[in-house]
Amino acid sequence: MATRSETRHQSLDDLDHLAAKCPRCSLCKFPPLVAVRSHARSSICPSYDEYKYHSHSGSGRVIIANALHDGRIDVTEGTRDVIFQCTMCGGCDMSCKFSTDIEISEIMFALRAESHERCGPLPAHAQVLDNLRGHGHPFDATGGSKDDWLAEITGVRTGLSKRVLLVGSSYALLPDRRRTLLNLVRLLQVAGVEFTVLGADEPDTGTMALHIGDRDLFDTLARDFVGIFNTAGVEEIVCADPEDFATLRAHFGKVGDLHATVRHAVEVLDEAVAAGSLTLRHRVSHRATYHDPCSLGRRSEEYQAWDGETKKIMGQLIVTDPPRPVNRGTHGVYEPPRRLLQAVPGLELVEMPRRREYAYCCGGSGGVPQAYPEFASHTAHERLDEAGDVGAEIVVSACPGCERNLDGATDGRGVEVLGIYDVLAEAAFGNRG
Amino acid sequence: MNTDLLERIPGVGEHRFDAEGVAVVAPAGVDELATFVRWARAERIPLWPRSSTSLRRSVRPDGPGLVVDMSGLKEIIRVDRRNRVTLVQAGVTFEELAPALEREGLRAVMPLCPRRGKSVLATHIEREATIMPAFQWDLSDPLLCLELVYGSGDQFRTGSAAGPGNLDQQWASGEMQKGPMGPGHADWMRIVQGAQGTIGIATWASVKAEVLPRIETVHVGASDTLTPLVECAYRLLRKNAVDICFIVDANAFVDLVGTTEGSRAEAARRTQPWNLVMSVSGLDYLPERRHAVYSRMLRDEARAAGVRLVDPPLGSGETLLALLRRSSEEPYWKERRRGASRQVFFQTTLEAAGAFCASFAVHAAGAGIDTDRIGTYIQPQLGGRVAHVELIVACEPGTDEVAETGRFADAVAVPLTAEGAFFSRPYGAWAEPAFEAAASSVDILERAKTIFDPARILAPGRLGLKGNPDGYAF
Amino acid sequence: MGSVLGVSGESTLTEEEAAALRDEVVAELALVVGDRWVTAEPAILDGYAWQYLAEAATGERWMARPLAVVLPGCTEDVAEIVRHCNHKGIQFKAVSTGFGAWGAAAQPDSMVQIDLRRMDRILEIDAKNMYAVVEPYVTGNQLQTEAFSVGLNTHIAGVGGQTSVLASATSMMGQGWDGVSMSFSCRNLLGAEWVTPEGEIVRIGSFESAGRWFAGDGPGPSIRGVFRGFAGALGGLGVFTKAAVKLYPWEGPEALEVGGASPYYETEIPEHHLSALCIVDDWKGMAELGYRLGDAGIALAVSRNAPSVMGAVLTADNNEFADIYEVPFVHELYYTLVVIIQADDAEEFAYKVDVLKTILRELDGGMIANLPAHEYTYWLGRFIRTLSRRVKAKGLLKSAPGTLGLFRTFGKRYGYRKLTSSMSALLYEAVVRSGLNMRGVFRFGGTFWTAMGSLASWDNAIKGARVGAQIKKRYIDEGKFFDDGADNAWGGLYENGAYSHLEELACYDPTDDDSGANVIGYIFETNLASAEHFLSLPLNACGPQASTFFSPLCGGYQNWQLAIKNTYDPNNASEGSSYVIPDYKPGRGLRKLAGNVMSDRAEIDLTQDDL
Repeated sequence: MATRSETRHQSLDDLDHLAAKCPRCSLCKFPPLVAVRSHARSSICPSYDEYKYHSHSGSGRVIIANALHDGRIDVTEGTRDVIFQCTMCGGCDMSCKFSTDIEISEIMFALRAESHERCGPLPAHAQVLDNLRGHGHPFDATGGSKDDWLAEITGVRTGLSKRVLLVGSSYALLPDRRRTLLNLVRLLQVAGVEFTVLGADEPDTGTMALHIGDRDLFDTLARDFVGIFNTAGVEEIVCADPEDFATLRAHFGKVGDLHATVRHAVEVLDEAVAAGSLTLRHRVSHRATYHDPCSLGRRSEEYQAWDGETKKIMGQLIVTDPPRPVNRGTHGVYEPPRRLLQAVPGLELVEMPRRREYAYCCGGSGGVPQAYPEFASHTAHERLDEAGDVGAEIVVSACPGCERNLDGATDGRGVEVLGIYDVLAEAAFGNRG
Repeated sequence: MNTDLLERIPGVGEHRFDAEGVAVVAPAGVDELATFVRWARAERIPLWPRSSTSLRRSVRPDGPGLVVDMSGLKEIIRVDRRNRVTLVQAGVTFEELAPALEREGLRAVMPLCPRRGKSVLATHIEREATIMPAFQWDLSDPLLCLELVYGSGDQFRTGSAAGPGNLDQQWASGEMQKGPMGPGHADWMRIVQGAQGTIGIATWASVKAEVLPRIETVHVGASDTLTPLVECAYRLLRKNAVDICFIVDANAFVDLVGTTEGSRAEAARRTQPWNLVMSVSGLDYLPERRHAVYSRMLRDEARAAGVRLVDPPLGSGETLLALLRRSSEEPYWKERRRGASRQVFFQTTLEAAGAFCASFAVHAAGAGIDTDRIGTYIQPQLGGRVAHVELIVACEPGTDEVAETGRFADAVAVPLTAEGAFFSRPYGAWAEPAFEAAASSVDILERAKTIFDPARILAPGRLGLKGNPDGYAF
Repeated sequence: MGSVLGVSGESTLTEEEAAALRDEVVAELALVVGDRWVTAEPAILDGYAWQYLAEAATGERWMARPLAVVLPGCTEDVAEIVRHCNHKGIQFKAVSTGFGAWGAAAQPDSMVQIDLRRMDRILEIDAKNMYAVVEPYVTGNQLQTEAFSVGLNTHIAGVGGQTSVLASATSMMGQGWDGVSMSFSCRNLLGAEWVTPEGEIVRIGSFESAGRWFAGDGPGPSIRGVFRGFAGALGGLGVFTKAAVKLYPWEGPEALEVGGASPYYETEIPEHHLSALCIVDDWKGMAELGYRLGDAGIALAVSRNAPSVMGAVLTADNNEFADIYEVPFVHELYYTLVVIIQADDAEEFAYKVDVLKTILRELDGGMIANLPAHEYTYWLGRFIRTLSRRVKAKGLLKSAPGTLGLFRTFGKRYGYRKLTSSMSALLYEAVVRSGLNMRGVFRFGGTFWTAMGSLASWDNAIKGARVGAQIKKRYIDEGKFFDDGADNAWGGLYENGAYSHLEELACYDPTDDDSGANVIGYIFETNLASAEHFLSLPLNACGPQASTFFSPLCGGYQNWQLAIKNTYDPNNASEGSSYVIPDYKPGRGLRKLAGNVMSDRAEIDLTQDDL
C-alpha cells in the first residue's frame, strides 16, 4: 500500500508560500467584481454571510493556516469550528484566482487535514467517518443497501463494464432522492446509452472523508476505487452525483491514476439530445432557474499535477517554471445542463445573478449539513431568495445534496426544487416518475 | 471704549474709526495680522474680521471690539490659465477679479450679481451659493487653499499651499495651490469656511476659475409654476448641459435686470411668473459643436418638462449674460424693490424648494408681508443635489418696515427649520434654531472653537458659540 | 528588524492579566451585542492581525492581536462599545472591509477591534438628488451596481470595488480611476454619522436638521474638516456608521453585460461609450493631454497606467505577463492615458469623441479604442506610429518576433478580429468597475506599496512621478522591487483636471525578510524628495512618523492634529497609531533606517524622460 508521502496532497507547509501572499483584500468574499450584479446578491461566501467574522471568509481561513504554520494558535474547538463552518464550495478560491494564484481551496483542504490530525473530527463528522469505514458509505447502516433502488426499475445491468454509471451513495441510499435517480436511469435507457451499475458493490469515492480532512481514509477509499475500476478496464465513468464527479476529477489525481474517463450524466444526456437519441417532447410550462452545483461547476476542474519550481525574475516577479496550471472554475460543466433545460418545450430558463463559476452555494456540502444544519439551512434560504428575485417557479439542480438542502428550505415560498433528471423525465415521458 | 487699549495695538500702524464709530484696524499682511491677533488674544479683545467694503450684517460687528478690515489687501497675486486657478488677497472684489480672469481666458465662479465691494475671499469663505452648479464638486468650491491666522494668533496655510515650500518654490515646481484638502488628516479650510469669522482670519485664498467659453448663450425657460422648471433643471444638470443655472420668480428677475424705474416697469410687463436662467457654452475644442449639442438638449428637455423658452425680460441674451458675469450695478439688485431688503436663505433639495417657498409666503402673510415684497431666488448647487433657496423681502429704509422685516426674517427660521429647511449658514438669530436642530454638532464646534481660538476673541457669540468665560476687555 | 515605525510594541500585561481582561471584555460586550457577535477566540482574532503591509509596519508577518473582536449591529451598539472602552481604559478601532495594516492593533491586548461587517445596508439611493446613504460594509462595486440601475454611478477608490465606500469617504483617502468625473472620496461626502471617540453620536450635515442627506457642511463650519483632510483619521478618531455620498450621472445600461469566463471576463462596452488607450510621445505630451482633456470636460475617466499595470490587467498570471512584457510594444507603453467617454446620445458622443481626436491630432498621438472599423484602423495606425517613434529611438525593434508572439497569444484567446477591442473592454472593466485592480499590483511579487501621489496640479504630479521613478530605480537595481521599468506611476485627473495625482507603485515579495525595511526606506526617500522638490504632501505624509517629518515644513499641522486628537479623544481611546499618537517619539529603528537612506540616496535628474 502506498504511503501518504507518495500522494500529492499538499500540507500547510507546502502551501505556505501561497498562503503568505494573502493580502486580505476581501476579493474572496464576492464574485469577480465585474460580475457583481446587485447589492443583495453580491456575496460568494456562505460562511462569511452566516458567521460574519473575517475568519470565516476564504482569506480568514488562509490566515488561520498562516497562524497555525507560525505557531500562533493551536487547533482548539473554537479553531476547528471556524475551519469546518464552511461548505468548501470553492467560491472564494475562484474569486481570488480571478486576480491572483493563491490556492485557497487547496489551503482549506490542507487546513482540514491538519485539524483532523491534531484534533480529530467534529462529533458530527466522527459518525460519518465511522460509517464510511464500517460499511463503505457515509450514511447510517439502517438506511438500507446501495442496491435497493434496483428493485424499482428493470433492465439495468449490474457489474463492471466499459461504461459504469456511478450512482453514488446519496442517490442510492436517500429515499427522497430515489425518484430522481430512477428518472436518470430511465433517460439513459431510452437514449440507448449502454451502461452498467455496481449496486451494492459500488465503492464510495471518499468525498466526505476528503472534506472532513481524514486523508488516510480518503486515500484508502480512493485507491480501492482506482484499483477496482482500473483492474476491470472501465473506460468511462458516468457520475450521477456531481460530488463524486468533482472528487474523481479534482482529487483522485493526487492519490492514483484512474484510467477511465470521468463524465457527469448531464454531459451524456446533453449528447443524447443533440444526437436525437433522446427526445424531449412534453411541455414543462414553468419559469425555471438553474442552480449550478459547486461540485459540477467550479470544483470539478481536473486535477493538474505540477512538478516545477517557483522563482523570481525581473527582481521580484514571481513566476513558475514550467508554468503552474491554475484552475479558476472556468472549465466546470455549465453549458450541458443549460442546453438540456433550454431544449425542454415550454420551459423558460432564467439566470440568477450568481451563476456558473460564481454561483452561490446551496449550503449542502463540506460536511456542513451534518455539523451545522442551521447554517446549511440559512444558505439554502439565501439561494432560494435569489431564485425568487428572478421570478423562478422551479429551481433545478443536478446534485442530490443541492436538491435536498434547497428542498428543505422551500417552506411556503411557492417555489419547487427539482432534480434536472426529474424535469427531463417530465419532458421526455410526460411525467416525473 | 478703552482708548488706552487702542493706543497699544501692536504691529498694524494706526487704527481708525468707521462710519458707525467702530474702531477698525487694517493689517497689511499676515505677519502684522498674526502679531495683532496674538495681542488681542492676550488682552481678550473681541475681533470682527471683514474683507468686503459693503456693510452687510455678516460683516458688521455683533458687539464691542475691533473690526479687522482686510479689504485693503487688493492684490490679485496670480492668475494661472493652465491650472484654472487664481490667488487673491482678501480684499479683491469680483469687479476686480472677473475682468482680470477674462483677460487670461478664464471666468470667475460668482454668486448671482454680488454687491459691489464684495470680497471674493469673503464670498467663498462664507460658502455663498454660486451660479454655475455644474462646476461645483463640493460645497466648499471654488475655495481651495487659504492663508490665515487662527484666533490663537498662529499663522497657517491650508491645503497644498501649506507646503513644502513657499509660493515661489511651489510655483516653480508646477504646483498652483490646487489641492483643497489637508495638510494631513484634517481639512483646515473647511473648519474656517462657514465659521463667520469665529475661527480664523484669512489673508489670501486660491480659488478655482473656469475656462472662458468661446461661445456662451443665455436662455430663459419660463413657466407659470415652479415645478416644470425644477424638473428641467434636474435633467439638464444631470446631463452637464448648462453652465449657469438658477431659478428666479418674476419679482427677483425684475430686480435683477431692472435698474431704473422705467426698465423695471418694462421688465415687470414681460417677465413670467417663474424663470429658469441657463447658459450653454462652447469651450476651446469644437465650440460650435458643443454649443449646438447642449443647446439642442436644452430645447429638448425644456419641451419635455413643459417649459417655454422666452426672451429675457429686458435686453438681449448677451446683455443678460454680461450682467451675470459681473457684480451688481448700483443699487444692489436685492435692494431695488423698496430700497432695502432682508434675505432669508437656507438649503434643501430642488424638488422641495417649492413647498418651502409656499410655506414662507404663508409665514410672511402672517407677518403682514405682501407677496409683492418677496422675491424668490433658487440656486441649484453641487450639480443639482442641493438647492439654495433665498427669499428676498423688500423693505423701505427709514420706516418701521425695516425693523419688522428684520424681526420676521429672524423669526421665520424657527418654523422653516421645523419644516426641514437647513440653515447651513446661520447668521444672527438663525443660529439658535439651526443648532437646536443640529444639536449633536454643538459640542463638536465648541471644542473646535477652543482649539483654534482659545480666548474666544473672534466674533464672540456668533453661531451661538460661547464667549470667553472671563469676559472681554471691551 | 523590529518596529521600524516605532508605533507597535509589546503587551504591557502578563498573560494572565491579558486573559482576565479578555474574558471580562467579552462578557461585558456580549451584553451589548449578544454572545454571538463578540469573541476572543485566537483563530478569529488573528483574522484581524494579518494585514496587508504588516511587514512594513512591524517588520513581521503579523500586526498585533486585538483583545477581542466585536460586531455591532447598529450605531447605538457602536456608541455603547466605544463608551465601554473609554470606561475601561482600553482602546478600540473599527474596520469596515478592513484592508490594510492601519486597521489593526499596534500593541497586543490593548484594543477591541470593531468589525462593522453587520452594518451593510444601502439605506437610500436618492436618484433625483444623486446621492446614496450607506452603512460601513457597503462596497464600491455594490453601490455602483445599484446606482447603475437608476442611471447613476459612484466613485470607486483605486484600491478596488470590494472595499468600503464609507471608509474611503470618511477615514482613508480615495484616489481612483474615475476622479475626472467623480472626484475624490472625501469631496463626495454629503454627511456622516459619527460616533466620536467618547461615544457620542454626531450627525453631520443636513440630515439632523432636514432629515435628508443632501448637504454635508454646516450649520456653520464643516465638521467634515475635523475628522478628515487629505486622509481621514484611519480609524483613530472614532467610528463612522453612516455616510452619504454623491452619485454621478451614468449614461449606460441598468446593468453591464458581461461575457466570457474567468480570468477573461469581457464587459460589453455600452453604446455611446468609448474606451480609448491614448498615446503621446513623452511626458511633455502627457502634460498637454491631461490639461486639454481637463479643460474640455469630456471624460468619464482619465487614468494613467504604466505598461506593467496594463500588462497585468490583460494577462491571467505572471508567466503570461512575463512573456508579453518582453515585447517592446508593451513595455514601452509609458505615455498613455486611458480615456473613457460616456454620452447621452449619438450627437453628444460624436462631439466628445471628436474633441478627443482633435486633441490627439494636435499632440501627434493615437489611440486604441472601440471605434467603427475604418476609424479604428486609422487611430490604431497613429497609435503604432507614435509608439514606433519611441521604440525605434530606443533601438528596440529587433524584438519584433516577440510582438508576433504577443499577437498569437492574444489572437488565440480572443480571436484576431477582437484582439484590440478586447483590450478596450478589459481597460473599460478595470477603469469603470474597478474590478481588475488586484492584478495590477498584488500579483507580481505578492504585494505592493506606493509613494509620491500628492493631490496637486497635473504638472506637479508628473514631476512627482518622474522623481519617484528615479528613486525607485535604485531599489529595482538592488533587486528590492519588481523591475517594472521604474516608471509605474498610477493616477489621473480629478474634477475635470482641477487637481491630479500620480503615485509611484512599487511591487515586491512581502515574504522577503528585508521587504519591510525596503519599503520604509522607499517611503522615507520619496518623502524627502517630495519636500526637496516642493511636490506637495505625498500620500505617505500620513501618520505620526510622516507628520513629524512634514509638519515643520507645512506650518506645524501636526500640532493642530494633536490638538484635535486630544480635544475629541481625551482618553486616547480611539487607537490612532496610523493617525496621531500623543507623545509620539520616532523609534530607534526608524532613525537608523533614515540614516541609511540619507547615506545612499538616488540622484535625481529631470533632464531625461527615460531611465
